[in-house]
Amino acid sequence: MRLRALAALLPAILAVSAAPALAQTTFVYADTSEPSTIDPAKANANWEFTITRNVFDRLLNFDLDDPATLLPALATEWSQDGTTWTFKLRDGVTFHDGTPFDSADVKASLDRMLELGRGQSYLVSGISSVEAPDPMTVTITTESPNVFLAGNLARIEIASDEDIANHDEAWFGENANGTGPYKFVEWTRGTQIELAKNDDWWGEFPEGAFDRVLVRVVSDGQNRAQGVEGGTYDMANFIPLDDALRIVERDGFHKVEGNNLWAWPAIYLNMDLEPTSNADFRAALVKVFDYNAMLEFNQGLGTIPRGPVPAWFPGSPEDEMPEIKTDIEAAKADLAKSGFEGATMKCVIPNTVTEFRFAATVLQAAAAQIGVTVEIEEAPFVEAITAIKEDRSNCFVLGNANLSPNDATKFFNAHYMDGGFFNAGKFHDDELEQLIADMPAETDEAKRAEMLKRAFEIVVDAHYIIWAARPTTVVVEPDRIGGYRIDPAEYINIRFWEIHATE
Amino acid sequence: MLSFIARRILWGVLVLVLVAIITFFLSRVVPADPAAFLAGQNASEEAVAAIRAEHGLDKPMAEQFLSYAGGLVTGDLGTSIRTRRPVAQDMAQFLPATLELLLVSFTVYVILSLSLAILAVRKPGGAVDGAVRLFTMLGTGIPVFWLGMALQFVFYYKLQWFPLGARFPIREIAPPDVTGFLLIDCLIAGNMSAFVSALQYLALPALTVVLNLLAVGTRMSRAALLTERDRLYVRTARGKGLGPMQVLFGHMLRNSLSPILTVTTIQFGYLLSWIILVEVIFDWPGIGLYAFQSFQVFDYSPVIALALVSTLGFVILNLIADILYPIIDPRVDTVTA
Repeated sequence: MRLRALAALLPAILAVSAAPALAQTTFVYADTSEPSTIDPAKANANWEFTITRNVFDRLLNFDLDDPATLLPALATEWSQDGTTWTFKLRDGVTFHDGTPFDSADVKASLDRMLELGRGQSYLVSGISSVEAPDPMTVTITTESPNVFLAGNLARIEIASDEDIANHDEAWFGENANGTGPYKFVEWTRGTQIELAKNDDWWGEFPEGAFDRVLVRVVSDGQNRAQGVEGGTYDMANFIPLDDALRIVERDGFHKVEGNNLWAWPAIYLNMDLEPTSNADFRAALVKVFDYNAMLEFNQGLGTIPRGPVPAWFPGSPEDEMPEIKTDIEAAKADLAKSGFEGATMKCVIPNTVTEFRFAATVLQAAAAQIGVTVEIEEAPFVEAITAIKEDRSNCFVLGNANLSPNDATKFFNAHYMDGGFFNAGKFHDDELEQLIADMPAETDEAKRAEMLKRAFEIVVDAHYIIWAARPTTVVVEPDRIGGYRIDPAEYINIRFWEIHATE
Repeated sequence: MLSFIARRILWGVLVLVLVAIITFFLSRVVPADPAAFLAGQNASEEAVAAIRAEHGLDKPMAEQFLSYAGGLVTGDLGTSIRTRRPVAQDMAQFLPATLELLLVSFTVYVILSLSLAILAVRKPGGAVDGAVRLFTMLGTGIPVFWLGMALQFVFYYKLQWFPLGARFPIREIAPPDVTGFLLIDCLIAGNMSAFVSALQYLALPALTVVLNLLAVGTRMSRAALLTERDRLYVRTARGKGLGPMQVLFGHMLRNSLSPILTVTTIQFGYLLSWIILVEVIFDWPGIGLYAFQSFQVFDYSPVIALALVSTLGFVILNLIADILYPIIDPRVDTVTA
């Protein structure tokens, strides 16, 4: 009897509230990892950007719905004259500690970023000097004319010059004093980072914007999914696709979808090691690959890439390019031409991502149809990329995205050019090197688009990469929340200043 | 006795040194580069090299080890590449959460396993004994990660009886951090409703630990009690007219304690190793989750530190057990212990 009474009371006991709920509104976001740093000069992972993008401002922002359009932020006007860019700054902006914002802050932030050479510094690596001729003007000189600089600055956060002068790197690693829409409040290691709405922000919040944001560290994807579904978290970063599609079918949820990945995954082929050093053999692999298997793996969400640059990217020739599709007969013909019939090739792939493993398996099964054996070996990321660089592997698998909203040259430099860290298969093309070097100086937009198209064609025609899939990103948003937009130039990110309660 | 303890401590130190050497070199043999993880996508070779240099990863392995070993002597466990803080500082922050989970669940486990064993041996082969044996067999067969996920699915997702993630309600204000032990901090703050909340968060991870340990513990305790049950001194005690409870608690239990203590010590030692799974499943912010997140980016120092802390825990527990044996059973001397 007593047991029964206790059982009846259990839900009531469990429902006891520990403390009175706060009067202010709170948005809880479950992120995948804890930041290693919240230093805007070092942040380089999307769970670090969750904090830095929202606490700091940039000189410019870009329109998520149209990345070619730059929007004023800390700078209200900007212009380019050859190698000089001039930015007029917004008046009346203050940092969260009350310090006024001026050109010295921009100079100190960019100088620091270039000196450290970390994080997103590669986006502004062509800057030769930053000057602050008056408190509301900044001039930036680049080594050569660079039309992309303003767009890349839409990714670079600005800190206070006083903080830079008074604090060391360790301080920046765990403190953040920006001008942005949310203030850094507290970091409870291992658990959460708390942010508070900056009511003095120069921008406008939507009605229902949250007073307080808690960014929780939830490592497990399943826990993030269950937590959003159960209402413990309002939204989450990277909910596994299966779970996301299931949750959005439920009452009280809807999906936000878009494309932010250039290719996921992309299979890099070794240009220096037989048999993939043979162009016809590579062509055979590109043609035999089963793109529909990847599409099915992604639940039919996404597109089959026609090359390296997605259609939404400013100036992308994707829509004009021929489709890349499975053609076994053409693959057999290419293989016969190569003279490598019955060949065996080895793929050392990173062991961290399910999609990478699946793509390698699809390649293995597809190649078997034309008599080519693909041996798969899994290894930690660095071991895998080193294996192909040292010609111990014919292929490597990677995901592609680009943080710049309008500059493809940074991506090409990293993936297809001499010295690029991710140019794992050692691709080289003189014409491509020249095109990418010249593109930033070309002021005519139409000519730039032509150059990008040519660069696109060179990479496609070389059959250096099998772009296995370009999946659609699906984000779960509860109906009680609104304002989430997918940033096309980010893996996944969230702009807390656009998020609001709908009820 | 003192020389026995001194000998045990020396052995413990030797074990710790060996673990430090083995884990250090094992971590360096793994062909992974934490600097590349930290540098991220599109990073240049220079950026990766700068991170490597910053953390001394570009130095020869022997030099890295000497530097690490020198630090260990002074209590410096190295610096985490992921959190960019001293590992000792991180461990000090996360250890109380782990200890709280361990101590609460282990206390419940000891009480429950003994109670179930006592219930079972009252009538060996009876219905209660059968139920306990079936239950313990099931418990032995269920992997801890599955059990944790199943409990979470049922009690959080389906029934919504218990909360998910971390140690305290997200939208409420936790009591001031005094000891790091949340339950104690709630009591210090005199906040009973916060105490209840903290208990709710502790419930599922603790239940996972208890259910997983309970099987072996109950079976061993039951076997130990059964062995004593038919001994002559027990019959004599009964013959003298002592009641079943007096026989059990006054005679049998004490004589069964040695094997129970052995199993309990071993169980606690293993628990230190696999608590990492429970912490990951429930997002419990202890040293297990900390080490797991560090391992994902091949941040070696926290992983080695976890190995050292687990080993230290094992060594201390064994030492305590060795000291307790002669106290429980005077026939055991410190030479044979």
